[in-house]
Amino acid sequence: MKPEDAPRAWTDMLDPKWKGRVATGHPAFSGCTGTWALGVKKVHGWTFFENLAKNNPRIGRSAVDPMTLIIAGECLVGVSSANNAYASIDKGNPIGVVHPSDGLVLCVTPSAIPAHAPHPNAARLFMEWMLSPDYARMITGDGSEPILEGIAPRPGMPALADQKVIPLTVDEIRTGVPELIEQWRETFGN
Amino acid sequence: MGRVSAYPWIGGNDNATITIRAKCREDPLSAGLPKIRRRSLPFDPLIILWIVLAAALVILVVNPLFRLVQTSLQDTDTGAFTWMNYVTAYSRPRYITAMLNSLRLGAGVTVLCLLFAVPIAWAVSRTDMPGKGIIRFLVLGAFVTPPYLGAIGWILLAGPNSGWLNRIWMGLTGAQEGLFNIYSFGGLTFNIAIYSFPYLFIFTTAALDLVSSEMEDAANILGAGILRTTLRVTLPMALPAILGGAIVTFLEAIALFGSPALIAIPARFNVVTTQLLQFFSQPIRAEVAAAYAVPLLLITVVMFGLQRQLVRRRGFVALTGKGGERRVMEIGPWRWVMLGYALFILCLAVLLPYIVLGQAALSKAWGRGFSLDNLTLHNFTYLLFEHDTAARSVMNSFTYAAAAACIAITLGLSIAYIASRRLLPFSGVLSFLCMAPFVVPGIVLAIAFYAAYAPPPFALYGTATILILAFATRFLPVGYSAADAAIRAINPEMEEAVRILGGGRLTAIRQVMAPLMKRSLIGAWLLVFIPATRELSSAMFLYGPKTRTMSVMLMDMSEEGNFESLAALGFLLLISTLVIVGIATALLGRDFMLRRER
Repeated sequence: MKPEDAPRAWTDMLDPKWKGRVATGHPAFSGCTGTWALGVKKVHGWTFFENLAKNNPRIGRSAVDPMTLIIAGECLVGVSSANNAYASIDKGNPIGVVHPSDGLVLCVTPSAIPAHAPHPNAARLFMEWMLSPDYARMITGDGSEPILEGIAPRPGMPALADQKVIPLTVDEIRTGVPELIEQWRETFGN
Repeated sequence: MGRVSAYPWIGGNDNATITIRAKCREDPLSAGLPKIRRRSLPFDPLIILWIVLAAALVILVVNPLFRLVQTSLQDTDTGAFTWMNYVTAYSRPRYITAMLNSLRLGAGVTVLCLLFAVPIAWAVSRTDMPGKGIIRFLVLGAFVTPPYLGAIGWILLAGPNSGWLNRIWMGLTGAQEGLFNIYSFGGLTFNIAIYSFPYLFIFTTAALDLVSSEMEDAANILGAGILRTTLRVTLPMALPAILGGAIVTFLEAIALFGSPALIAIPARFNVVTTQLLQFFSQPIRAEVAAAYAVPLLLITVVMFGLQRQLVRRRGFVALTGKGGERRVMEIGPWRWVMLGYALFILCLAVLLPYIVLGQAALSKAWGRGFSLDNLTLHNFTYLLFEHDTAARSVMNSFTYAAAAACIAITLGLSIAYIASRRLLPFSGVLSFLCMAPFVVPGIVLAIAFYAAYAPPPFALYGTATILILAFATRFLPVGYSAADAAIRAINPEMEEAVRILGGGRLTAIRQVMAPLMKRSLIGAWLLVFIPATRELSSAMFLYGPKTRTMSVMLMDMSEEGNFESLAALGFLLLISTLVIVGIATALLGRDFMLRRER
């Protein structure tokens, strides 16, 4: 596959030339895939998925499954998280990453301390560290997005501020994803 | 009434003893019998054993299943009785489709397994086919391969675009599309069958090994050829074992979780187990899942009843203690045909998948294919020395499996003995309970255990205890069937001889039954132990941070796309299993599922 053939936007995955060669995770197994589907539904409506179904996508479970299928050569394009893709590139697999022009979906991983945690101060310290420049620099290595200003992403990766992001609130995700899972099953069959 | 005084000492026909004893208790006239006759019916210590066994089965089988059924008939919030869960469980066409898919899958797998296992078993057991050692070894290889590992191997082989077989096909013919698609109903059926047929092979060879050549000779003398003898004499003798094995295969196939998760989900159809996973994922609807699982229980009850009817009608006793000559049949050039067939099936089950898995295990990145600069041993050293939990999960798997096998065999053996010799009333109930877990798919069993033992006062969730108990329950039917087969193969006349000569039942068991059954029991133990080391579906919902098993870890790795480490872990599992089987073989003087060449 030549770089100029690669899709540029989510909607490019609907091109019949990818029939049977598109991979995604499953929203019921992967929160990340669920958030992604919700974001795309918000921008393009559910018709996006009805059209995707016509392209006979290969649906795995986790957001990493598409990576596996692409590395195998089973599929040619797929939806995954950037850090998975870059980790796989670093292992020497011949794949590339596209940041779609119609909007990234951020897969946010919040952290919390249980009310009755045995060592709340240690947990607080750990969370402080997760918000530190050290941590931010560390995670850029595998292609995760640094959220601190002034820390550049992994070389070759566009900065978050320069890209279109599909905004989703916590409430939208909480109520939207379970509903979406049912819709997904009706459209894709399982 | 003269028989009453005679039988309890001799113990000739146990059935008669029981009925007569029962009569004595009920019959008001018996109160007037002379004292000596009453003393001839002493308190039977077997009653205590019966109570212990019944209690164990209540803990392992009755209580969890009761909680399952109870949950299915309860409103989760109010606890009130309701049929609504059943309505929900069957309200959508796709839920029904999943159930029909499972039945079709079970039937397809069973038919394929019969085609794979019976000819190979016959050739290995009864004919002069060459290379029996290697065939038995490869069947063992298929048997110890976890189905989900085999499924991954076959995804690498028969993925419609990338599979090695399809790439070779496209390369040879210039075709645009591959020949095989593992992501299909047929693909899943084939994949499960190729790793399930060893069960049927073991059941069939065990039975065929016991068929005396005298019967075949008789058929030959009467003018029957090899084919006619085999079809009319040899195979019918083994029919109960083959049918029993087929039923086991069917139930095992519909209960399987790992392969459908890997193949059916991408192929976009559901079977019962993947549908159950949906009910258990957020928002968890355990009550609907329970309702969905209950009809499967009924299917198994019916099938088990059917099997018992079949076996009862043809009460064969093949091993009589009188000795019978067993020779192999000479089948001429056909022995090469049989060898070719056996090798072909075992290539599909063992050789091809392990070549591609080996490539992945030894690769830095398996997508880069077979090349020298892609070679590494790091995946193995990583798992053994660097990974946080891999070594521990390997240890967990083997410890839990050993403990579960001991429980299952002890229970299964005791109950099979009581039932087959009809020592105590209601032993049929006990043996039914031993077989009942077969109907319960592993994930449902896990939820039943969760419902029964996770809340206080037990609070066992995530502990080794709950995993061991769940594994023991899950494989109790295997332990029971194997023990039952071992007991049925021994004619009671040998025990009766002991008792006529004045020995008690315990003497008969110790001096006659134990030596005769020692080997088949170690074989039975391994039949439980090996699947327990790779058990996935019941572990999925019960493990805790410190009790993760190897199977759970393999599944996690498959979802992480970490195929290099996954394949390496699969090899570690395979090697350690083979080492254990090797030690057992050395101790036994034969393989657990095979006899030495005669």
